[in-house]
Amino acid sequence: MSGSGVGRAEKAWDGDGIVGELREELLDRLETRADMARREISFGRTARALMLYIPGMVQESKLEAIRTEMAAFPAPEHPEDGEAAAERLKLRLQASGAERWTGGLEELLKEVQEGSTALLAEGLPDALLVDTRHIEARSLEEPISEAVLRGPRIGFCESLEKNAALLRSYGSVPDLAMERLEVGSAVRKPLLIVYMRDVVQAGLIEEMKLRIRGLEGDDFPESGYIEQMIEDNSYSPFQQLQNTERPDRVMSGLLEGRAAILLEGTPFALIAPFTLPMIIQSPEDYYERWLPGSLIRMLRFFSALIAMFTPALYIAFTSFHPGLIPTKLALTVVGARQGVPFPSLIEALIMEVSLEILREAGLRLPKPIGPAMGIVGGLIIGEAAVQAGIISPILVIVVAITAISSFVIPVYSAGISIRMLRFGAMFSAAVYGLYGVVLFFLLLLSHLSRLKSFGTPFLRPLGSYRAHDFKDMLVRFPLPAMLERRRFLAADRRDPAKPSE
Amino acid sequence: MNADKLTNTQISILIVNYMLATAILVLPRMLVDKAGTPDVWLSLMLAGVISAAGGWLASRLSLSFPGETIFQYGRKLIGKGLGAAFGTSLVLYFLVICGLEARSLEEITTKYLLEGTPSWAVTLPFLWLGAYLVLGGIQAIVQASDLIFPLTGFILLVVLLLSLRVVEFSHLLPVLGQGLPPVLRSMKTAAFAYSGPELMLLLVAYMKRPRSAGKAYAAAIAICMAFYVVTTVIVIGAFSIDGVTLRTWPTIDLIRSFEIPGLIFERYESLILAIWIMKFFSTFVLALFASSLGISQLFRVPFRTAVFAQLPFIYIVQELPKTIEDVFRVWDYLSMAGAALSVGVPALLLVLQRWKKGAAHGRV
Amino acid sequence: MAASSFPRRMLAASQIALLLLTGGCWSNKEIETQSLEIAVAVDVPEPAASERELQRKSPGVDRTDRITSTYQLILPSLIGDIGGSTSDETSSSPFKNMTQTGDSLLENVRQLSLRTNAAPLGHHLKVIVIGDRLARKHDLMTFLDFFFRDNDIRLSPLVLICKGKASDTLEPLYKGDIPGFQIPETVRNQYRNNKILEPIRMYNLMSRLHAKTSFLLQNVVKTKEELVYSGAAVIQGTSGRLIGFLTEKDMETVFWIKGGGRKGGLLKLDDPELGAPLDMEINSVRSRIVPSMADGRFAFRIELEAEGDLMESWSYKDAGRGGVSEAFYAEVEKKLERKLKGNADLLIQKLQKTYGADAIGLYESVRVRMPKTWSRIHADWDRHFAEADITVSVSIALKGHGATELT
Repeated sequence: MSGSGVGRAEKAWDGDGIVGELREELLDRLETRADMARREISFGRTARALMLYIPGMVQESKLEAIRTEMAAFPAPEHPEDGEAAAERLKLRLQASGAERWTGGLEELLKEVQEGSTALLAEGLPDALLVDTRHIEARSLEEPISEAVLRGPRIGFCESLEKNAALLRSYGSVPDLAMERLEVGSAVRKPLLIVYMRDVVQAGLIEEMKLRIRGLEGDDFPESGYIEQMIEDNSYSPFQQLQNTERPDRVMSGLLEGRAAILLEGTPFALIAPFTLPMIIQSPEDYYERWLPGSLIRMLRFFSALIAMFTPALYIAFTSFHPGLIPTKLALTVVGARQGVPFPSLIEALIMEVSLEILREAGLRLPKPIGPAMGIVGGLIIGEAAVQAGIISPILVIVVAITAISSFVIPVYSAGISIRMLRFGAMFSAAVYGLYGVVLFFLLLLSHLSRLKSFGTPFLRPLGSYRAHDFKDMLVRFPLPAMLERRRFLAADRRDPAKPSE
Repeated sequence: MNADKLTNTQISILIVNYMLATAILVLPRMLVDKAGTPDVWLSLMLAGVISAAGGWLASRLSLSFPGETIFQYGRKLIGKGLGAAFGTSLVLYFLVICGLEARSLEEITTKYLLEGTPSWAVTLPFLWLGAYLVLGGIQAIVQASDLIFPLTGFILLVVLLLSLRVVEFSHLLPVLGQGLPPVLRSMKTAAFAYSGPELMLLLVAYMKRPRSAGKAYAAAIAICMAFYVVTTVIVIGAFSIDGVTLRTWPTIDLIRSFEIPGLIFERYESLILAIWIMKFFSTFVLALFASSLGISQLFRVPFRTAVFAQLPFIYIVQELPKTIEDVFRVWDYLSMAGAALSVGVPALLLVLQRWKKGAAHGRV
Repeated sequence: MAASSFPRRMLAASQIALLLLTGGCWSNKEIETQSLEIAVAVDVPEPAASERELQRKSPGVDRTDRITSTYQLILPSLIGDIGGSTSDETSSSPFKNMTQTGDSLLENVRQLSLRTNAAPLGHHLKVIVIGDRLARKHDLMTFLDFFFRDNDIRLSPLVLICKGKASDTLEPLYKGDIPGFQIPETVRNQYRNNKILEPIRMYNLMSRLHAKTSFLLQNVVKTKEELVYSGAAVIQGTSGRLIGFLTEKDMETVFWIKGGGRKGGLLKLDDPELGAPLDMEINSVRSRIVPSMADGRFAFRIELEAEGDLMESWSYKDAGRGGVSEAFYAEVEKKLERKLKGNADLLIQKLQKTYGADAIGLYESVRVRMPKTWSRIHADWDRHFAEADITVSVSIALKGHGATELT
């Protein structure tokens, strides 16, 4: 008999036991819980039991198991037998994770809301709570934002359980530790801090826990919230925690002595501490052989510089220092700029801003149109602008090079940082020319020198002259040389509690 | 400050960055002015050795007071009054260096890069930027200098190599043609190039292995010496002693003397100028740190305040010299003061300290 | 910590922003608003026709005529448009020569800004040509001073003397010719012959003028059809003025004496005994100059050694069996040696007697080997040179005869 509707329920339970007592209260509370299913099953010959669960959050197989057990379960004859019966039922369902519920009704219903199933049986003094939790998660796919040419095509999904399992199943890792915390006052979500017990940087975990425990907020829908609230310096253009959807990135970070944070509801894990050189690193560097790996990494490094400074240098040289470029090039530029009504800064701004608009638009457009829009937009608008004499063809090249270079950065959020900074460099160049570019560079350098991520200087290991730090900086040494675990974090054992400035 | 101590390499790099700034741009001319012969690079080498000795002295002195800077142990050594006086004169010394570096930067930038820009517009951002980095403490300064050094060093080397094409080695002969006197005469000027030992009076406190501070300093001198000698040789080789005395900034003119069509940049002075701004920056930052540390430790002022409070004074110092000749004259006095402060005084103090120790032992 | 420093940082940032906004970009000058000054020719004052017309139309300028400078400027408007229309018309002659006469070079340049909207940019200057009459009249250092002081103009431009009117060299020879670019590029052919001096650029010039020693400056000659590098001007050390010229033939010999192992030059022989002209291509040259002094009088021994191949012979006699003979080689060598020595003696004579200036740099050997003496007498060197006793000895070795077996 299905038990939907208040009227039916009333008729259904006439008997004694827990159900009868709670009937009024139960009906009342179920009014605002329309998504909770109430199913009546019979057992023994005349006894009834009520199952409360949220369909969609429970494992069908376990529900079946409960029904099966109940069907074969004899009802207690006398009220005194109720206790023994409850115990027996619990044992029968123990494999499915059953417990006797000794708390109040409201709390019971809250548990049901989290995915368990409540079993209220006539004649039994306590309700039983069975752990039937099961959330539909999407299947594991390759992360879109972090595609690699070579490497595992697995990304995290939204289920914390599954993600943790993914890490565990990476290989046999006895020292992998996971600590659980909860965040959010209105919406409580579990969070896991994952690290390797023997390698992790001293004090890192304590500092992390400290910062996380201090978090106040109703809800933390994405790890981004956590990131922004526990990072050392939220005003910096650079992120101080890495976010990734890739388990292999997380694992390699853990092996280096870093720690990861996994949050329920998002496939993006956080890794701390984060340092600047990691921006140009990608897992492929290690999967490919060392020579291509190194060269491509250096290429990325130069692309980052190009992406940041090219428009600024264009402005500096055309508006301030035409004497510093080769004569033939100067002639070309002059020829190209004939008829352009704007000074180079405005010209560059127009193009760069247009490009950013196109890029953002491209992200929101449906998949089939997106890339086409980018190409069409770029080509047509660029070409048209040149024809109309608004911008010079040289600038189109500059902007194109800049745009393409910025896509080379494997860490997407860092790519955003670099794009932002590009504008800063442009303005600096517009006022002070090459001096401005240098000042901007020094400003960046100073800021980065001061920046720390959980106590680790952000620029590590750049600037270190210790031989073993070189092995993985710009050039990637052959694997045998690198297989000793990269020790720079562990060896220094810096205190992460010191604030970054 | 931070619990992390500096390694020897970091100290060496700091010193190298500090020393290689204005000097290398004008040295060839100043040396040849005094000596009149092309073998002035010898005096550079000799002066380097003396400076290394000075650094060693300063380091040994600091060793006797582990973990403390001169500002802190000064008064222990020579009494409160004298100690404070010495400390203050050091602070003033560093402050003037800040001002002069800013001024050199302004001169070069307005002359070669930005002609129409008013000097305050050039100087102020530089000062603020320097203050920003100094506020990060010695750790931040070291991190930045660790990166500035390879960048600037590499480009400088490349450009120097490129400039070999305008060098005629016969210009460097004869060596010791006039004997030793010219070389000795230019040594005083060469000292200007190596102002740095005074830094050891306070940096040793931050070192991981203070005992080898002297070695770290010597390594820094070696690197600087190499750069100085190579640059001077190349500049004189290109211009000969007659030409080099004609140019205000001979090293920059060296780079402007050639064009290599087809090799990306045809003209390399933009590179050199950009690099030089960074070098001025690193010297400025270190000097500002030293003086702020002094003020903060001597007068019990929080570090932050010390940094900001100095900026207006630095600006004034920077504006004071009227002509470029005045600037170089101040440099001259400054390097003499520096030599006194960093070599003479520590020597005296060391002697004093040994005597005190001896006396103490004697009494016991 | 972050919270409290934020307001402070905002303050600093807003100060900076204010600074920038109120000030604006001071040194900003778009590239297309400037013209590139790629060559300058300086002459004795002789106002050009256009100038005279200007004078007539607008008389009463506060200027005397001391020097005429002609600027070869690449004007942005002449470079042509962007977009499709590249083509020959636009690239034919994108430059304009503008002549200005006045008191000083600085004034001349500044006057240009009255005559064109695109102010000249000196940074790209590639060559400076000096008219010989101007060089005879003034110490080079005087009118070149402007070029040394200007912070835009680098020390890399090539310096040349022109026998005749320097501004003529800036006239294009053919459609599309830009003399300002062509002239310096021709200098790079130096390796193929031994008649062009090593290029003297401003930084070189500066050193030599200041040292007050005599030297040679490359000469160019302009005819209606061509621009030729030919001969060199002798610049006297003490006065800094041009006092004469050396011919192409002299230049060959100069090359020999200066040595330096340059390849590619040739030595020719037109000996009546052999019956036909004969050329030797030089593979290497070694020159040793040994100075000495006795009783206040200097003496130089110049030893020249060269190695080469027989590269052209109009007598192309068949060598016959046994190949080219030793005797033949020896004979040719001796004749070459005599020829060279003759040339050298003539040159030395010219320098000592006619010009009285050590333009080939014999003083270098004195400076290096006898520095104490040098510091005493260098101010008066040319006189000592003129009175010196100079002997030349030559030794030539013919090593090969090219790919043929003919003599």
